[in-house]
Amino acid sequence: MAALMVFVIACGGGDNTGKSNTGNPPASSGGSASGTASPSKEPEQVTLKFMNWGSVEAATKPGYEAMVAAFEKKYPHIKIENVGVPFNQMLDQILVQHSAGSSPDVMILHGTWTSAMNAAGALQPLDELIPADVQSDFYPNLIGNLKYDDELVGLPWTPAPSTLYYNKELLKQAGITELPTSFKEVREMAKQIAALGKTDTGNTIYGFGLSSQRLFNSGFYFIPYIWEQGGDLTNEAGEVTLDTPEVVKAFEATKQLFTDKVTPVGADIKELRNLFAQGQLGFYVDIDAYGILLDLSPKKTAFANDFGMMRLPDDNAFYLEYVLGMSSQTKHQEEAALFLEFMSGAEAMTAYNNNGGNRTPARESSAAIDYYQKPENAHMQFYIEAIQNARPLPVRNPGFVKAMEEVAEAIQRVGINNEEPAKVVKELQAKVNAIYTQ
Amino acid sequence: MKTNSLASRGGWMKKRHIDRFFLTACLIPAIILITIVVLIPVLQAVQISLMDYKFISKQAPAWNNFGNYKTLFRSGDFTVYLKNTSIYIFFAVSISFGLALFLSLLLNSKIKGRNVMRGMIFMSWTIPSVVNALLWTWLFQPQYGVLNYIFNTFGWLANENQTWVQHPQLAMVTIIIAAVWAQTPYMMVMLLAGLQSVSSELVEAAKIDGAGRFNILRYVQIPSIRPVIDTAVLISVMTNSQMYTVIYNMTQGGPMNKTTTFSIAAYQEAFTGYNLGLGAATGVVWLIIIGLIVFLYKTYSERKISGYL
Repeated sequence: MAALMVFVIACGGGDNTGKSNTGNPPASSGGSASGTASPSKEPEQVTLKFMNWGSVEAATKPGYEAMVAAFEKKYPHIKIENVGVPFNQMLDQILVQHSAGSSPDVMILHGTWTSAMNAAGALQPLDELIPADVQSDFYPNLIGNLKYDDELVGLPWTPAPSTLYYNKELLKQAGITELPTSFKEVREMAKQIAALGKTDTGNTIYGFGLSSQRLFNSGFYFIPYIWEQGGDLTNEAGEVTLDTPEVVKAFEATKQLFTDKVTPVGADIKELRNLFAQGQLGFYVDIDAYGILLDLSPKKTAFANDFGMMRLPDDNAFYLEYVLGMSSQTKHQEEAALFLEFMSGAEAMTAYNNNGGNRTPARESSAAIDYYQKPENAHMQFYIEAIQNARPLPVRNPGFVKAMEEVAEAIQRVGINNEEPAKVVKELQAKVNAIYTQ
Repeated sequence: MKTNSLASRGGWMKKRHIDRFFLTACLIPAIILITIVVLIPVLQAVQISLMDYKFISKQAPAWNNFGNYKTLFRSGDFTVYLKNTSIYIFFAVSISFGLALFLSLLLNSKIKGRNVMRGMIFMSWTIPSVVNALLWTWLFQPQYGVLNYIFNTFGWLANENQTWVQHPQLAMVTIIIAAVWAQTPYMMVMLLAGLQSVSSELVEAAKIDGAGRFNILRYVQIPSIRPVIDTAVLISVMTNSQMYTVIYNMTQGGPMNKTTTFSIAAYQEAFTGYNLGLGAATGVVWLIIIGLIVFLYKTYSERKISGYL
């Protein structure tokens, strides 16, 4: 820890913080905004450092390498230095490198990190770097959420809608013939499913899967249940609005799931996926997990016949996107803009998905590629439609990630420690308010 | 004679200077390394702890009049961190020591296959901390874990999907078990080396005087290896005071802060809360506490050892 802090201070740039100013005007390196070099001038050889976690994960590494190769083929004068960092370390690494003045040129961020990165001045505004026709090609609800102070700070990439997955077999066994139209119905059906007891192999059957480990994603998966009751994390002015009867109701309903033993205790989203793939879970909420579930299931592709997907009741679905960002410290803004534009476009999505990517597009033009039209990828059409109707998570405050950890802890207090929801919610309001106003 | 005496004294002085110079020359690289790798980072961390330094702020870091320390002590979290860290260190070290002593006594005796056993016991120390944490997380997994399977076979669990790592009262137990499993072999090796250096004549003499095994252990072996015990315990205390990997990968400091130690808290304040100043302050406070503990322990143990001599 001490050595990391020394690195932050000692490797600073011109000023004593090592941070550079934001909002630098686009550098002019010749050529149009689309990057085509003027006929009389050979484009300068440039290397862009691209930081991401996909390159170190076995499932996504081939896709990332294919996208980079396709880009380098299209723009031979731009080399990509592909730097893979494990997901858990990604944000720390970027913030520390930014503080030290050695940020990567381009990066992929988790959607929940954008506000913190923007507050740190780490992201270059893209309004004048990305052509207007490209910007308008993105789904409006996605790109709108990446504007801070009217400046576009990133491009949405591979968004995923929160989706309600259900096990058809367990519903049938429990005598459920119609799909739920509200979360209240989901909870009632979940009780019926949990009453089935055990599978043929003696494993416990759960009716509903709620992520309740002390992780920030447990917090944001809980947001739809707050929306269900008519509450929200913040109001339009950004003030924390957790201490409300609606949020208390959300936690009371959650507590009941634990009391009735309808949900596994202390499971994270990966364990829930595993339980669902093993046929032990009736309902659960996840993002685009179709391919993951087939991989996890002992039945493999045959498992696709055993489960279904539906939009969250009352349109309370959120979307979660990755974000393509450009560092405010990059010296190659035009080249970096070309890369960001390429990564979200049809060519990159084709390369990515044909190499195991299996992710949804953020642009309308990318949605038209052959991959999404294939019958075996019909689930992608579901996701594409669901994204366009999903709400953004309330990620605007830089303290969002820490706030979600507090929400996860509140779930544990109510569900595992059996505390009173009203008291927990009151304390949660105070904690999140302190985080949001620091 | 006088002349010879003067010459011999002069020669001896020259030799002493040469020896001193040689010793200093040998120490300088280590001193430089420790200064660069340890001392300067610690001083920088102290400097950061006195500043308002946030990753997500565009303001330059500035002196904040001990604001980070005030926040730490006023929030009530300090006592939680101190309690969790103390419980963890106490049980991890004492259980490791007890087990290590037992194993070292066992392996010091003439039993069959002791060399093979030494190798097998030492294997757990070679496993990386992250792997260790993941291994125990899976062993304790409520639905698929081997431990629940075994306990259920014997009918020992009221809840067949008993939670361990996510249970408020049991989470700390699981971490201590994982830490003890990984650290006991190292302490065992140190104690075994000490036991093997105990003079056999002392043990024989005690036997002749009619001492039983327990009295030989208590009055002969343990006092003889007292310096080794002190060193092993001190290293274990310092190792466990810095423990981050196992705790973070198993419980992330939860549930409900039940396993949040100073090391976890410092990381979370700095990299989840983006408050580098507060994270550094947490680390500095813990550094002072552990430094005091080590100083008092060394003072006590040196007096005890000199009492034996």
